[in-house]
Amino acid sequence: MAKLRISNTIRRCRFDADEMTQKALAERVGVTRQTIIAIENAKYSPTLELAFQIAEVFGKPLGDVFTFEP
Amino acid sequence: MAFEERNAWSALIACLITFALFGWPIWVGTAQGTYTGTEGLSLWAWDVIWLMGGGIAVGIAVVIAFQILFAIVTRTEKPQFISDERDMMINRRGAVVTLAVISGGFIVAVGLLAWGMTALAALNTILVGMAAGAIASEIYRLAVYRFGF
Repeated sequence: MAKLRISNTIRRCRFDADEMTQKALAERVGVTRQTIIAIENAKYSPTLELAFQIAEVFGKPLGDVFTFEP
Repeated sequence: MAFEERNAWSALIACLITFALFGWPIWVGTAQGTYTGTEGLSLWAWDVIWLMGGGIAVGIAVVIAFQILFAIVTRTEKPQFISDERDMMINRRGAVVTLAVISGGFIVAVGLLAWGMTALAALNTILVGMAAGAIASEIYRLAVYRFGF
């Protein structure tokens, strides 16, 4: 499968947030752990709403967590 | 394994069991000429009604059994039952796959009628198309869950 053009720094953000687990992040934003894994591995692009929620959890602007690669 | 992925596995297994139990006899009946004559299509319709009813019953039983077995085998005390936006997107795309395959079956059935085949052959083609659509949808969903979009 082709990689998506939206990359992210979720793994890094989780590490910086006291090594937050994927499960904990999933529970915070109301999705499954599998969805967080898919996003981290660039196999799924979240909706804008979910992307904002994830950025909000880490207290960062959206652009610091998700980047579009033209 | 996410809740909806487990459901996709359950649905695939249920489809295969349903068509083995209820679909195969229709195929055999067609080959043996059970559905010929004035009452033929009525008999066929009743067998398809049994197929649909059986499919619902098998589907419910397989989903429950699969969820219980999953919890036992993976020793998961509290399995998740969450469906999120990714699940909904995968379901929608799976439905598109179903629709495409069923439409293909319908077009083939119309073609068969145009070429002089019997109504029974056309109806069986539509039935096979529906079975193939259901199975293709579940395979598509499982592929997406395993390998991504």
